[in-house]
Amino acid sequence: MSNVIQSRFWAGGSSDDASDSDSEEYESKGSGSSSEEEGAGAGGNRMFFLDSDTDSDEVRRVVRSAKDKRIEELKVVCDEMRNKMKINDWTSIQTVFDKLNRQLERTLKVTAKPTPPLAYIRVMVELEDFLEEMWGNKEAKKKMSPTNQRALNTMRQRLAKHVVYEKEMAAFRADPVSTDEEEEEEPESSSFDEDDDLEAIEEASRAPKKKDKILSMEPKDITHEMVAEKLSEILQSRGKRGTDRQEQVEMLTYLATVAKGPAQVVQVLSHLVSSLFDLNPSMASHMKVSQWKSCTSYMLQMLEILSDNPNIKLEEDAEQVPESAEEPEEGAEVKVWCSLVAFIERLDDELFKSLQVIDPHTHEYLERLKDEPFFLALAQRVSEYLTSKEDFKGLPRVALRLVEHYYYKVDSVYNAMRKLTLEQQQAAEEAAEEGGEEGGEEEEGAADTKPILKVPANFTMDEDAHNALQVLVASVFKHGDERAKARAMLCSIFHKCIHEDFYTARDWMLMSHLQDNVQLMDISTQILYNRTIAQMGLCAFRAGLIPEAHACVGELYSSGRVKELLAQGMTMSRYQEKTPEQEKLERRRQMPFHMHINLELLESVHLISAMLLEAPNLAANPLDAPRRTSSKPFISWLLNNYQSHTYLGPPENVKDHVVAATRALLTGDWRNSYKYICALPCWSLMPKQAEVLEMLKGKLQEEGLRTYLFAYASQYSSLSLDQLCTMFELNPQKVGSISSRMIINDEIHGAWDQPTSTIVMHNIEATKLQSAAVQFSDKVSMLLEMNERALRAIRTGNIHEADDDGGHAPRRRGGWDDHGRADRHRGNKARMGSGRGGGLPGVRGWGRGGYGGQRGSRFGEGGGYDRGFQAGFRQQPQQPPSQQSQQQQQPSMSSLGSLRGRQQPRRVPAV
Amino acid sequence: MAQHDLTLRIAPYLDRHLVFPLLEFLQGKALYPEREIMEGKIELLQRTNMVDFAMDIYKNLNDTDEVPPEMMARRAEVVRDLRRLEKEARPIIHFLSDPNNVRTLRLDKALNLRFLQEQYQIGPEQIEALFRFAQCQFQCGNYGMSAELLQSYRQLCASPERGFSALWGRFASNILLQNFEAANDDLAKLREAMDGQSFVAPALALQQRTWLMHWALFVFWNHKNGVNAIIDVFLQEDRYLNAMQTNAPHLLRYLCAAVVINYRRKSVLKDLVKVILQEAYQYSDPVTQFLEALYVKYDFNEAQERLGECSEILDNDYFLSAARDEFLENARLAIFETYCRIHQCIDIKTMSQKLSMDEDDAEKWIVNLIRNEKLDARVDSRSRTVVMGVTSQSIMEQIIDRTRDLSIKTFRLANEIVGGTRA
Repeated sequence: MSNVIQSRFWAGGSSDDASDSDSEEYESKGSGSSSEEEGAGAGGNRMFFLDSDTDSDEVRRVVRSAKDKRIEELKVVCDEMRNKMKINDWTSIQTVFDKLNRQLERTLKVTAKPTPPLAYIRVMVELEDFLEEMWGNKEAKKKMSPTNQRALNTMRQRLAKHVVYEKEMAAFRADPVSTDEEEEEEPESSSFDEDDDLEAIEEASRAPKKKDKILSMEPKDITHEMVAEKLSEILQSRGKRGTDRQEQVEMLTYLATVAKGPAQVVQVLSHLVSSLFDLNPSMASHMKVSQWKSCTSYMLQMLEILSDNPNIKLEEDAEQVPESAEEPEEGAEVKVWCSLVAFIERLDDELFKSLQVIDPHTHEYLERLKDEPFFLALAQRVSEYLTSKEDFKGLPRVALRLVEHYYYKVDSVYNAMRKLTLEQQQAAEEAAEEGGEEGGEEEEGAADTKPILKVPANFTMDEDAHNALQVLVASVFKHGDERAKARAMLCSIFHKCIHEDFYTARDWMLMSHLQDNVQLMDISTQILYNRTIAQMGLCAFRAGLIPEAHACVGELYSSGRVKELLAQGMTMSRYQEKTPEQEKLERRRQMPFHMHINLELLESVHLISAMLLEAPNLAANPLDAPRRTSSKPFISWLLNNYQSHTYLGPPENVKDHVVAATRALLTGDWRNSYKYICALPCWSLMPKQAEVLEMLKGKLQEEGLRTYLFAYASQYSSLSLDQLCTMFELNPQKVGSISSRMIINDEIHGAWDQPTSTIVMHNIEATKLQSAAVQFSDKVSMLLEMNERALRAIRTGNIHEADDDGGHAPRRRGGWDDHGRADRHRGNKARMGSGRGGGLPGVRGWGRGGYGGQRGSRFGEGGGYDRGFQAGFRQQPQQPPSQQSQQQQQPSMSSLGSLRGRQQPRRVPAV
Repeated sequence: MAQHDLTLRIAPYLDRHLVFPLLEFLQGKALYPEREIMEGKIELLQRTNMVDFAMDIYKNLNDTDEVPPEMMARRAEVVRDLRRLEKEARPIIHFLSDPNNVRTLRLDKALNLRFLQEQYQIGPEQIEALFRFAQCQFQCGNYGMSAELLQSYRQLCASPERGFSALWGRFASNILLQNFEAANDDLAKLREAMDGQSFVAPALALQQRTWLMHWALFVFWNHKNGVNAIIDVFLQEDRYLNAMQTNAPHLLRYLCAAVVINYRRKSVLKDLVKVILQEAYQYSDPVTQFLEALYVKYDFNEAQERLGECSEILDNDYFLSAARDEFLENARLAIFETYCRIHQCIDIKTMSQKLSMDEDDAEKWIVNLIRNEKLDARVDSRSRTVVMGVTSQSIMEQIIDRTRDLSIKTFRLANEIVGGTRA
């Protein structure tokens, strides 16, 4: 007993800062090795402990202590238990279980340690597993006799209560070191050898024997049953510790070649594919490319068989597949476990992950990209198969995967892909002609040698990417769930944007109400949404719809985290430290390089559209804060920033260029402005580069004219049309139209004189007295207003409160209205802005936000407030850090969420 | 001109019977080959019960006395149906034909039903039969009858949905009877009923509104106050404007025409122009382009050009042909007024060209405008120009404007204070 105390004391001393389990480990180690000289101080790993245990077994043969005898007895009971388990006899198991526990008590008395021996733990774990398995297996349970069933029930209840060594069992389960068991197994069996425990020998040596047998047999001698037996054996060991996954794969690969009958081949292949997936246990790292390829080829093989044998039915639920040992008759219906859809999704994920990880500037990346056609071919085969089987649950999932491969491909990329596919097919054909004989052998060793992957000859990509996408999207819409539909919608909007169809894209976006719901969706969908919005912005820009482009892109940039929003790289934030988990999550969300939207281009589009919208306003009100600017006076802020510099160097980055261009434009010098814009390097990435630049030139001329008139009109007493035309290289109609609009809107005070075609300015120079009088009258009316407000305050009772309500609130409201009117004023199709800026009451009301009153009936007017409130709430910074990790992410991923969040809470108290 | 013809776009939203006047009109305009229209008519009538009429057209078209047997069969069927329904509905019709009986009916529907049941053994089936009989009458082209029957039916029917259908039926009957006063009432009732419906599927609501807008065209362009009403209804933001933008942008033409004709309501122009620009990518015709040229581009030459096209289009439009001259006159005025707003000096000669008028006529027209104080301008007859009055305010005027109401406001303020202390 002193031993125990000592060890406890020892453990306590050595692990004062360690966790409970640690101290236990130490404890057991200390007592286990107490008879020997080996110190517990060494190592401290589990391996060591196990070794020492077996060592003591061997020592025991020389000096048989009482302790060892007890352990020995315990082991015998354990084995008895195993045997009972094998024959599925629960009544006996119950009695053995009791015996075992009694034995354990005795053993513990002798060994005098708090934890039971490993053998006990192991058998308990096995018992538990087996019990769960039996419990889950309804079929088998039905077959049992009633007494047996009852025994099973009671056993389960007892085991649930029997939680004495839960911790140890958990530790045993959790211990992933597979070598443990093997290393232990061998000495154990050898020791039993000497003890003449025949049962144990049989038990231990069964597995290797059989393996050898089936491997060494002639393939033609192998029967269906043997394969089935072997397969179920492999399956049972699957997922258990101590199984060598690689070996399993090899085994299955071999089995696939010797399997009898198409159904069995499919069965073996499906297990092979899933065990290949198992080879890579971690979510973070990607599957090896070679494994990926063999997976793909196995699946193609499987599909080949399936299409040839329509009698094979696939079942996704493993429990519903009856275990049959006999070989089925030819043509009879066979059920086989296989989940094609899940495999496809996994394959796609692995492809995606590998592309995320591989450095995009290497050859390897290109090579990997070339594997995409294989996947596309496979997915298409699967979807064809599913269509033929009328499986409308799996079909949309596969279709969605395909959509997500197609949607971002511009025509040139798509065509290149088609060409590549054709080439690959040809190459495959040639290879097939050359090495027809080798084919079989190659397949045999496909897992370890380089896998040969062929694009099936019957795979064709639709000539028109648009059609291909349309068909797929239609099938998703028909059968898919909400998320799939939303994603498919976003993908097709994205595709429309790439193909310069802004209006359709916008209408779809608005009609699908995606912007209302996107905050509620998962992050990956939000990223897709952000990508779509960015692409819409680019598309609008190319079409010359500057306000729309600004509305789309500006929102992404307003947060300053555009990289994060588009999942195109990590932003290092100064204010917010990320936990490693957050970072890991974010890394997993990243887009592969070939799907990126060029950020420089996006930034140029954003800044240039902001410039075009803001420059005239800046010129109109050079001093006071801009009254009617587009939502955010971004350029003016930049400009102020730059003006504080003492020296301005030649422009280098996008911002420099645009600021320089803006400065030029503000003096009406559109030519220089255009030059700066043209100098941006990113235009080469813009499709239809020349047209876009031409469009920009036109816009710069127009806005230049407006800016010029704003800035300098008061210096002229008359302006001639011809002069303006030559200055801005615009035709007289255009100049006439622009300046007429300004006259009508009272932006310049003047009128046309038709006979001379000049604008005559009516500038009224006010004398000092007059301007003083104007100011005075302003003050007087202000005084009156104040008086009125004061009176109202007296009426309502509380001066301060009333001042708050009456003073600020209306002014703010007025501000919103102004905003709305300003937008209206611009006469632009601000539907975009209206739909998206749902938080702005002034704006939302007048767009086409709700088609045919849909908005009203679906969400009600109050919906915006509620949602805004939630979003705002989620954004509040004072949150416990534990929740922050999740919640902070969500609004950040949806640019809208953050936008609303910022604006809404202010209104909430009023509501 | 056929490319600007809207009949094909409007027809899907109309009842078969309502399309008929449109086709009749087109026949007169000879935009399409006569034969096509005739065939269209037969096609149209095939599914109605107006078999005799269809037969006449068929004979006319094919120049024979032979009629295809399926038409004969259809005719027999229709007659049989009519007989059967009449028999079913006879008790109630008999009851209704006596004005004294009708007078006994009250406002309370449940009471009426019980009364009928007890006194005349007229149950819900007979009332339903009345509806079907009215429907059949409508199908046969007997609109007066159907309008009357449906009116009675609405007094008796219990379920709001059936009442709603009956209302649509009555609306159509009244339109076809050219009884636009009654149709206008029905229209108001329909709108009320539709707005009152809560929890309708958005798609259904959209469809109903689109239909209503199309049917209402008949009323708007024939009723005396229609031009005003169309602006009120179509520009009703969240209900009809949205429906129009989504489903039927071609209706913009009628809205534009109404706004131009109703020149007093210039205030809606701004909103309208915005809508036109928004929809330009999916619908535009010379009428919308005219407004765009005038109020967005300020390009008077183009506006003039479009106006020329408009005249032709309006002439060929069933709804607008009657309003053509009014439209042209007002459009001209709009051009001139806008022109004046941005000019201070206008050459009469160019102006007359823009207005497509004789130079003297133009001068007379302008002088008349000046005399009616619609225009602040003077004619300089030596240089043949019109000189606009300077519109900008002098600073003194500004100050006067700003301080004008100060005294009144102060007075009111003082009054309130005194009143407050007294109370």
